[in-house]
Amino acid sequence: MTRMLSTDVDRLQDVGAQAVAIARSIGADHAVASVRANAGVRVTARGGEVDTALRDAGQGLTLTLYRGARAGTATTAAFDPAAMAQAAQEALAIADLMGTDPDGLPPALADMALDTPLPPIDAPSGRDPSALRAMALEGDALLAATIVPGATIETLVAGVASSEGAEALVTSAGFSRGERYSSHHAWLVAMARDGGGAVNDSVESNDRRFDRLDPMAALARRVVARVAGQLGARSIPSQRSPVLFEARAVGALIGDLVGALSGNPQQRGATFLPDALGRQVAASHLNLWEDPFEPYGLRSGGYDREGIAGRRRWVLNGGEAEGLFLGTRSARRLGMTSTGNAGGPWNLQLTSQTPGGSFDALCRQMGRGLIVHRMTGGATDPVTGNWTYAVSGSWVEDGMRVHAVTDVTVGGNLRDMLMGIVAVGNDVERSGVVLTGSILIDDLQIGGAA
Amino acid sequence: MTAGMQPAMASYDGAVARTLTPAGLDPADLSRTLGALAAPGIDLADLFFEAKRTRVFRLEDGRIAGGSFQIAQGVGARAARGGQVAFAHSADMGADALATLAEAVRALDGGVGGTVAVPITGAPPRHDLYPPIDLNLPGSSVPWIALLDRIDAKARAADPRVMRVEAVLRVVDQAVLVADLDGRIAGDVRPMMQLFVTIVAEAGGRRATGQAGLGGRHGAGEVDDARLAALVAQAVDMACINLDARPAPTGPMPVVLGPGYCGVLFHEAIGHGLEGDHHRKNQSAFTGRIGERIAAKGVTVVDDGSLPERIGSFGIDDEGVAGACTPLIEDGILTGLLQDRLNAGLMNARPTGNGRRQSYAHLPMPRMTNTFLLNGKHAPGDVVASVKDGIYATAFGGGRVDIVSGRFNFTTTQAWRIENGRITAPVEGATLIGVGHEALKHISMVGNDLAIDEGVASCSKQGQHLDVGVGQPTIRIDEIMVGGAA
Repeated sequence: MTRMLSTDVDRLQDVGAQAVAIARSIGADHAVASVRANAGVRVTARGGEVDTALRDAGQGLTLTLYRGARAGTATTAAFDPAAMAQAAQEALAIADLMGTDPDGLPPALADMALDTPLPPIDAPSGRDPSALRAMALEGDALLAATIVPGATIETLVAGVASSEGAEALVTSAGFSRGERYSSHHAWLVAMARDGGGAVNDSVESNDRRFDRLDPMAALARRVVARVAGQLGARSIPSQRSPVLFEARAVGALIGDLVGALSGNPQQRGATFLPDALGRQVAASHLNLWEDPFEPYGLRSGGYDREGIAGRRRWVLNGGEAEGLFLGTRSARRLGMTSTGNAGGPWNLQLTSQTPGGSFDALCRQMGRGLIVHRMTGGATDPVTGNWTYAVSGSWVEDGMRVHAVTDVTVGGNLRDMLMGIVAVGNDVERSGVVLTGSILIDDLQIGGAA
Repeated sequence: MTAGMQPAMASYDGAVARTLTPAGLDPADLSRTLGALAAPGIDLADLFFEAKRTRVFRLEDGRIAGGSFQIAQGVGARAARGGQVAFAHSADMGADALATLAEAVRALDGGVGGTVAVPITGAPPRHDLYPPIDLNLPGSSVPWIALLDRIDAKARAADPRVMRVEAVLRVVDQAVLVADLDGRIAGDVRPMMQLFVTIVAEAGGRRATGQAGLGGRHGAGEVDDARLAALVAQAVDMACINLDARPAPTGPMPVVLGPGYCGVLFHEAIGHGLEGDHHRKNQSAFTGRIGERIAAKGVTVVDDGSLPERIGSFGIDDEGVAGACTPLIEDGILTGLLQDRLNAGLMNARPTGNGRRQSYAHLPMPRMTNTFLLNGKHAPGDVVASVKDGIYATAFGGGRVDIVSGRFNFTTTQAWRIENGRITAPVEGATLIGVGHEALKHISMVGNDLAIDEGVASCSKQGQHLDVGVGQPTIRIDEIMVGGAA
């Protein structure tokens, strides 16, 4: 099969070993080399033509050197010995300027994923740029051929991307492993226009296996339904009301939860969930499962960027925080051990112990309130949990959608919001790093000018 | 700057020395590669070389807890046939890599390559907006570390409620060189520093954060003790004030926005909507509205990439066009568009010095530089005093806009209630929303205290991240939707 990336893991491990040797030779007590390379093609189309065709290629070596308990890091895109030597010298010069930080030393070799199994995450597409071009043009043509009474549909972007990468981690303590991975992406951004103005929305499909991407026809149907559904949107009066977050909007909320449970904010006390471990932080029916090893999972991997394996575990069990997201440094500072999350969370799945049924069932359960299709901007205060966002959505009366909604805000505090999740739907889809259904929150502040 | 120095040529020469020379390239190599990109029907092609070094230092718990150094360099090659663009890039800048790159672009374009070399004939443009200094020479870290070392003590001395002090210092040294199908060549050396301070304060079991930052195209010497003290005081004040903040009210109400970073309103509400690419594709809510009144008389907004030492400024943009001042709104009338070469060419307009890219590995597009509202006549105190019941905001955490509909939003990080003309209780973050071509009509008072932000603003567009400037004097908006949590 044709590969876009010509280098392989062995070569990157060699580069890492050379860099570590150079580092030791100039006086580093420990050295960690992280080496990566990627290659890909991205094509976008609109108006019946290819808009952009891009070939991406990149590589990098990040070298962290330790003199005693002082660390310095340098990154270079060149892999020749002179560039590696320069990076090593820069890293060592930085280390000499640092304060001592014993907690920042690399993990012990015995704690590292020396021979744990690696989940499959590499499935090169074998597609050449012309195949991607044809697919992007197909997406554009499907949108152009769509007829919506009283409105015109236009492609803003029809895009297809396919990429491959490889990474290796080599340390002076004796760790040396690498992984290859692939990543494929198809997306459509469409605009709908009628006498009242124009709206736009997007859909996307991401997978490590190209042939598992949603077909363009399915993406086109979804994006047209979304933009057409937003025509005629209007505001609503400010009020308190339940809010139903569509699955695709839930990932951002769970992302805020992951941030709050992460090592750095936890050890700094800069989180709205301080000392969370063992405490009830979400509604008592909620579970959050983490799985680093899901075959072809978008966030799967054999170990984190420090070489520590994650594990299958409950992060939330019955709403109680059973796990934090820790790397080595923050774990040591908290008197704990790394959870293998130095690179962030692995694949997550939000579920309820009392399944909430279909999306329509959640609408009926809500009765009267706001459906949030997406957050269009806003901010979370990670320390206080204050949460205010601009949203687009739909208004529901008697369990039925009445009209599309725009120019409204939703506000609350994440501590209350997590406790106020009353149901999780079975309309499961991937939203960022999280597999989740839609969620219903009992009471939030809605702002509108109507 | 040393008297008698020629910064313009030093910028160009410095760029050549950092990009072409180490790669063993001379103008003939560029001519040949541009010739190979110039297939029949190609009407725009360029090569963009970049060498960038970034140093980052992190202060935590009173000591320098992290440091990193990054070298990034490479070349991007682009060829456009009308609006269709083929683009490839390479971290290798050698002559062989250029030939491979031209071949990759040709394969993406689907056309046949040209064979006639393109003569480089243009004289590189000059500028004196900032010195072509190298902020990342070996051994240059000492003054930066000294700067960071003073922050913790200053913050803790400022208020006993300060619990955590963190700071991040970023020092960037970027050399760029661009040559194009029309034989133009230009180069620049762009120094840049940014310092961000984050404070966590605690009192009565409650915690809150404050942030402040500064930045510019200059060295450590320009950050004197007074400027550093002001920075730390700003972050400490924000954290301590926010300790007492309560959920913000919700609903349409009058809002007063303070000077400086609050000008992000204009960046979001009109700036993005006036970028040429959105107009060429007929995708902006402002398409067809040029010449319309969208704000009261007295409201004039410009984008100016030629302000000395600002992080949003540059001697040349990433297509070799000099930074310039482009009026966007003149006395309330929508006037200008921001253009890069591709979109200007397709729209029969002139490039305005707004062609920018995140790196050699990204395509250029029309982007803002320093975007700000010009001064009005009102004293800031009078603007606040004019409001009976509303919000006074002085800091925001950024914003977003939907180009198609013109709907924008931005979220406060420091704000208070205004009651009977007086600033009273602090409120937690609130998200303000509006529609670009309607919101500005509600600006009824413009202050006389114009400030550009301290050098901390950044902007994302289609996944590309750039440093920009935003600014304004104090303004009163008679009605805007405030979305709080109460």
